[in-house]
Amino acid sequence: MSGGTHMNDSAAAQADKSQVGLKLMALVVRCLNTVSLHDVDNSSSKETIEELGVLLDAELRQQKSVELQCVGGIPFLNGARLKMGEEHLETAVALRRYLEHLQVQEISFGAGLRREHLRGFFLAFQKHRRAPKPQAILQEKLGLVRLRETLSASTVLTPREVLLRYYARLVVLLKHVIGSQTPVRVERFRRVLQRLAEASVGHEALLVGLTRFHRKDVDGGQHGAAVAVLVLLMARRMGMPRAQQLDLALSGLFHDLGRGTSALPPEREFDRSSHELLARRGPLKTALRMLQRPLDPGRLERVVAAHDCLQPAWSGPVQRPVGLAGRMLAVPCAFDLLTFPAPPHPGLPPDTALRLISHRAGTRFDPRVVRLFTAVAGFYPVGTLVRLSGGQLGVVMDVPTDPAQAARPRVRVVQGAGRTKADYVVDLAEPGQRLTIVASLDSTESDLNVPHFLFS
Amino acid sequence: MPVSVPRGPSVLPTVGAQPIQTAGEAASEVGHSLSKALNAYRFYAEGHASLVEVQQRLWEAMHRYHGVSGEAVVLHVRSTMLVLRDVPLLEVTSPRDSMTRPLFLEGVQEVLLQPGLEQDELNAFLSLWYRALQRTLPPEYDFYTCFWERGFEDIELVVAEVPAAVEAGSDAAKDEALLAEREEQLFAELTRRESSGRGRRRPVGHDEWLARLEAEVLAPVNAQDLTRSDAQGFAGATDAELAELRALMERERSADGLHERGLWMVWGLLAVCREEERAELLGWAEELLAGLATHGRWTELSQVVQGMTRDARAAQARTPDLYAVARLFFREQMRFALASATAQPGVLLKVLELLSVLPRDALQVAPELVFELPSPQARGTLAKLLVRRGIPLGILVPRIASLNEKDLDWLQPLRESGPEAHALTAALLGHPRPQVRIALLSRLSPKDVEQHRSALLKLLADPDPGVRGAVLVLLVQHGVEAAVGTLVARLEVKLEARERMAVLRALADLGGPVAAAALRTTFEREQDIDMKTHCARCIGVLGDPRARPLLEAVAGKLFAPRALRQACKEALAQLAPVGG
Repeated sequence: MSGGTHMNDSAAAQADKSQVGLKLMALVVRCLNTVSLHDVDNSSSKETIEELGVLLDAELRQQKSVELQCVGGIPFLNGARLKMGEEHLETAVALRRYLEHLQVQEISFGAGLRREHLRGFFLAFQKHRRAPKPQAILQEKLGLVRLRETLSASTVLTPREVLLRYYARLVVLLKHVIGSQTPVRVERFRRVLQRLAEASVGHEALLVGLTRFHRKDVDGGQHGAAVAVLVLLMARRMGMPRAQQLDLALSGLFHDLGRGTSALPPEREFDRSSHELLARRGPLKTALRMLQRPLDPGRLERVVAAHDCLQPAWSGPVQRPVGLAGRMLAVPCAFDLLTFPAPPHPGLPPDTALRLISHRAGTRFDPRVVRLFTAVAGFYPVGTLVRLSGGQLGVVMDVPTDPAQAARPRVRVVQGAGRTKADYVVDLAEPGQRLTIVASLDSTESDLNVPHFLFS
Repeated sequence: MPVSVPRGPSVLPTVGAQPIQTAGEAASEVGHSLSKALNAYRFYAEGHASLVEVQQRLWEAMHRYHGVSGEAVVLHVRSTMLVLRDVPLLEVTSPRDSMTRPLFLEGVQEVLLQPGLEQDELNAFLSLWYRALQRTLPPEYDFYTCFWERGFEDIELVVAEVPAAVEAGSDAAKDEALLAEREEQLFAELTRRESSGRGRRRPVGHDEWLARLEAEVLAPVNAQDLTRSDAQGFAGATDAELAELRALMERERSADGLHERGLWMVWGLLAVCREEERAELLGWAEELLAGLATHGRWTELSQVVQGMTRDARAAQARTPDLYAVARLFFREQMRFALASATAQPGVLLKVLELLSVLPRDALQVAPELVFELPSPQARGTLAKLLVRRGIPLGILVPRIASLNEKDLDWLQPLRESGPEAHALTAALLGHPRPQVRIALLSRLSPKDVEQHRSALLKLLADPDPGVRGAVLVLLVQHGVEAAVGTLVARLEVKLEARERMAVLRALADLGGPVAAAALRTTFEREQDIDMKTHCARCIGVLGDPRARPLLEAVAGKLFAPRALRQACKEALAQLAPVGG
């Protein structure tokens, strides 16, 4: 109970801080607007500066300095991101326009700030904003107002954070592209995938775990991102050059671009042919989104892979040349579709899905690719919720390197026997370790967010 | 010409006349050489001796810096300059003109050049940097991604988290801000301990779900597939297998099978497209076909068409698709590719093989292609193929002007194929080029002469003397007496002596009272001695007894030229006796 109250308090403090930040941003922008038009000593300028001063005085009573930052158009207060609503976007854009012109990323107001410091700052702003070299404002002595070109706080992220953040970015970008029908800017996706690829060296299991997040409904963004990272790992395991790894991952990312949001509503009566038509129209829509004449070979490759990935499911008696890229996408794609809830069905546990896929190796899937996928994802794929022989619940953490130990991965126990709270890691492959996996469980039943345990 | 560059540590940098003492001096030297090297790219192509020289100097300067300072060259990237050991390098006033612009914009904070850096690697990095400056990086790439993919060994970048550059316009900025907001939400969701529980299992739908997967993913699904099996099945992938997959992937990327697979894809998509999407798909198909054709992949093209035909036979609904794709072979771009390919030795047969597998429907427009093929042999073979497939070649008649005399060889069987081919011969007789008309005349059979008599008679007045001569010979050869009238009329026209003689001789050969009368009249009226002599001989050939008095009068004339008298005498000897 007390924990809950504490949490509420900190959340309230956070919200409060964000409110102050928004107010500060709005005031700074208003002041900059006013002094762009009027003299600093003009009454209206004085009024807004005074208002800003009052706010800063109140804040500086509690802390040493107040830092308003703007990186790439996103405003931060003392390094914490401001939670903005629609109505604040205009202000944020204006702030960005002012600061970028001056090449300033941070304005910091130190304790003991006086009105003349503010006045000095705005005078300097007036002086430099139209100068040929506006960044010279950085050299001005402005008392307790300090301007910085780069953020003072170090923003170097740990690989885990990079993985989480960039995966989230990948999903959001892809969802945006699927939903908004905007042109696909491949370079952005390539950049994000590259960061993921770079940060995941040595953390491959985490990257697999990323794909195990809960999805509320059929989500093209998450499906594409999951297939992209899985196929990236497969390509890496194959020892392909970096550029090809990314190309393959991009193929995975866009393989279902067209079908992303067009699942049949669950209430609709099942009809195999309409599902098939829907599935077959997926690659068509992907192609229509991606291809333009004259055809770009890179994009064509991706679209062909997307088509090949699904095609054998209904290819007729005539054998078609199915590219390896398509065959490589088919396995993670099927795995993801099988394991994720497609309401009303909750999806299969990962190991069951993998079993189903390996039964199809040789007919529906390329057996070599299935083995490769297994080597990357594991017998109990990373992120599978399992019950151990001692009655504990655990999350599979990694893939044993020795195939003979495939069924004995490292497991993070998240619930002890008898539903007690627990948090420790056991390596089932350790000599003398008696615990074994007895069953895989449906993580939706226990309502646990599996990746949380992988990343915590 | 590229100059060979000595590699790596084999070339030790020579210390200049003034030995460098401090790290600061070494840093300035690095900056100086770096600026020179980046500038040199503007003037010299990769591998040019001058460029190689400045690259070499930069590498030497770096090497010296490594030697003096004992540490890596760490270039701190600022918006308007680089900083190395507090020494500003490449400084400019505006970030727009700065050499560091592409690096700064992508959040590169530091460039680390480790000791042991090889010159090739340094050159590759500089070239990448310059391309980024010039915005000539490959499409879909930015500087850092390119750098990463290249996998430099001794060059590292420290890159800060920088949101993607936003295009101008507040809408784009708003979009970016919204995306960032969503990203933040998702980030929070991802790291939550408990899931929201909305994915909770619901009892219904298992069978439907499996059936749906069957449609989309696996076909078909059996219940026993889901039963548990041992771990032995999961042997992992062996190194040999990985190498095999890698090689396969490599081959797939390098070979130009992409067009072929692309074509199959379009064929697959055509089956499920809507009417309004069809044009787009066919546009891609056309481009892919042209791609295959320009790469000379005729066998693959034939195989694809055969596969499509099999599909269309298996499913009636696909026939219109097949026709639509096949018709693309005769669109402008493809026709051009086909036509130019046939000029290469050995390709003609492959092209014909391809055309022979196309459905008849598409071949209806194929006669157009005949006119675009460069060689008469190719045209002939194609025409034969079309005839065999029962394609009417009626188009040849209106466009006959595009063919030449060499085409007459292959046109011969077409002309002789039946009464419907008469129009073709008639068109050839009216061909604008006299050479074609002449060549044709020599190939006409008695039947043709009979059939096209009136056209031939018209040719007697053809503007080209060669044609007139040839038709004259032909008519005489086949004894077309109907020509006499026209020939007589020709005598009224002013003709060259030679031709006039030929006409007279033709009249003599054809014979008949009209010809005889015309010869007599001509003999009487003619003033020219040579012509008159010739005319006398012609009368002799004809053996017209009614000309005897005329001939005798001239033969007996005392002052007539000797040749004329002689000719008259000879003619008289040839004449039939009066009433005989």
